[in-house]
Amino acid sequence: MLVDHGLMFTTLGGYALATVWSELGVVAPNRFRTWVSTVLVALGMVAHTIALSIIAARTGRLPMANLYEVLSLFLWFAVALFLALQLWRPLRAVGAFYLPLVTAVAAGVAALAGQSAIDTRGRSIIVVIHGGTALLGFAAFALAAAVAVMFLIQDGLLKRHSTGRLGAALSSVSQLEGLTYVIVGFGFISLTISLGLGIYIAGQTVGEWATQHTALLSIATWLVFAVLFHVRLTSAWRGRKAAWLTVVGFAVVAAVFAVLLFTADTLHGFLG
Amino acid sequence: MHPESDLIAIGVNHKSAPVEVRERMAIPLGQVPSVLRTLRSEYDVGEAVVLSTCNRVEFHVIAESPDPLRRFLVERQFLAPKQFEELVYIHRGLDAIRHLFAVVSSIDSMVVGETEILGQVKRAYQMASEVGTIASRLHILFQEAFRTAGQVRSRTHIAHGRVSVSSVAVELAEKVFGELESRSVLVIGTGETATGAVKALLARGVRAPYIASRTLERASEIAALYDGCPVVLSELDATLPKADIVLVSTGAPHYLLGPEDLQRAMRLRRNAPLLIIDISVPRNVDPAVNKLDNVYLSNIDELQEIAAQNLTKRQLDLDQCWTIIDKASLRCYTRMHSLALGGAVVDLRSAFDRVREQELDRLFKNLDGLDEGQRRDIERMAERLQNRLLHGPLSALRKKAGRDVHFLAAVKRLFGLGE
Repeated sequence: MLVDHGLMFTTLGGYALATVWSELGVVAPNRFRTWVSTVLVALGMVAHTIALSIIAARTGRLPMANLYEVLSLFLWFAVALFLALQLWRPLRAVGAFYLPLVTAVAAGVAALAGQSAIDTRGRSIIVVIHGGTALLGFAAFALAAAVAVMFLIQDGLLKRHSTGRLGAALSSVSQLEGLTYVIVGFGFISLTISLGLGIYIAGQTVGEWATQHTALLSIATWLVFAVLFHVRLTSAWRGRKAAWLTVVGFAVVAAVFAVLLFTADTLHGFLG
Repeated sequence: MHPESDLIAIGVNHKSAPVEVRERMAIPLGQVPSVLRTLRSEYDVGEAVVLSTCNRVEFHVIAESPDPLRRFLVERQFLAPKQFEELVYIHRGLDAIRHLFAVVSSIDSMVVGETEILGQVKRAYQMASEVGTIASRLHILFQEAFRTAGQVRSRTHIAHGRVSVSSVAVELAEKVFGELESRSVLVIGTGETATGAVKALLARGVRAPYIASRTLERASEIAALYDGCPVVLSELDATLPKADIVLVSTGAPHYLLGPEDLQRAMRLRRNAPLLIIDISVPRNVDPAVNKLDNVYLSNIDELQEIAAQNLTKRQLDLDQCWTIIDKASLRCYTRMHSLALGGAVVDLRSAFDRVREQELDRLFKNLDGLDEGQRRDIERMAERLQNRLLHGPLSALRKKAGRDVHFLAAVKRLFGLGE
């Protein structure tokens, strides 16, 4: 097994342990548990960063040449955003909702280790930026969806006047709703850049970007979040409706990934 | 000092005495130092701490018996003699420790789990330290009490959840908004039940409230209390969108706010979250309002139910609290007695040394012809005799005093120590 594969399993272990601590933190909240969970995620992130660096050093390119590498990069972005959020505006119990997804993706990455890569010599920097911003955008939507789910739960508990540990463990609806919007905004900007570059690349390479179903699905995702961004900006929809739209948007993101796994198009065939 | 357990806790609280008696016994903060000095100088109390709060007045002392405190309370007319017999509780030794630990852990409070008592006891301890009526035993006792209170709070749910309507309202606001600093509050009506909630919210940093009433005069009168802004009810439509938290407390027999009012306000607020707490009876806010997005409505019944549920949860944990307190009390009692043990060993040796020296002096006065060597032989013989006689009692003292707390007292009595 290559060193980077071993490090991916270490990363998976770190995220899995962090998930367990986060769930415990919901059942019996205390600052120590939150701290332990964040440290475990950070350690997993360090191992992951080393793994990606090893791939880059070994191949002389950025790790985006097969599904293993793309998924790994997506995971890296997902965790980086989580840690950035915890440093900037710590949310109580967010790990309990987000880290299970992170761990599942990490398990997928670890399972794909050893996959053969395409020859990416000649790949332009625009392609790299297109891929990177797409993955960053999708990671932001995943985090936003987790925070939106937390909002929906807290909102529901408040509406039903429910008391209990879960309500006490979660942050306020105001914080959750506000942060969902910020994260969606960040992801939307990233996806817009990616989509723009993607259409340009498709136009240059295959001539008709509309024949690429990846492009069509990405546009669908973009549209969902464009609507969400618009209604939130105008405050036409806030709260539950916006939260549900965020969750739907992420479901579309997940669908795009699922489609890529089974039916790659011309430009994204290396992901199949 | 009496050789038996000489830690005594004596006092009245909300369970043992009515408020009129507690009021009479209450000692203002400024007078506590002089009371402590008086107890020590005129009533032969060794160490003392006085705790006086709205729900209890207690004396924690090292004394021969409760009599000095009884005399103090009666002579200084805090209590009549009959009241002392009927209303005052007296705890000694391990029971006194257990009682103090329960008080500091808020188990004995009117609202179990309240947080004020710890600060009040710390203040009482600090005052006694400054006056100089705390020595090693009460120092150990109170330090262990504070440690035990921390354990009770961290290992049980005794302090979790809010148990008054006002504090539940604040907790609800925090679940909606997080930090309450700079949030705006609108109070509709001037009912007294809203006062506690307003004060609790102001303590969390909300802005000075809008006060709405039927007349500007009445609104101004109440607004002046909080440095707030008076509003007439007819202008409610203009003010409602500005408020993040709305407290409704009027005697109106109908709904003052309905879904249409809130929809209008929410449009102007750009759908920012809004919390409405309706503590009126009958309700003044249409319950249908709760169905609106980003509007959260709670009425008085719901708040009281949450407070009652939280109180029940605290009380369910009482058994666990007592387990922690019992273990800690025994540990503290043993530690205080070990301290006394050290003193007893020194006292016993000193007593034997005194007798040895007195008898040697008498012997040498009667025996003139002894040379230096012979005197030294006799002194060494006397010392060996003393050590052999003391060996048994000291070994037993060190072995048993830590486990059998009455053994020390028996040894003291046997050898006449501390008399």
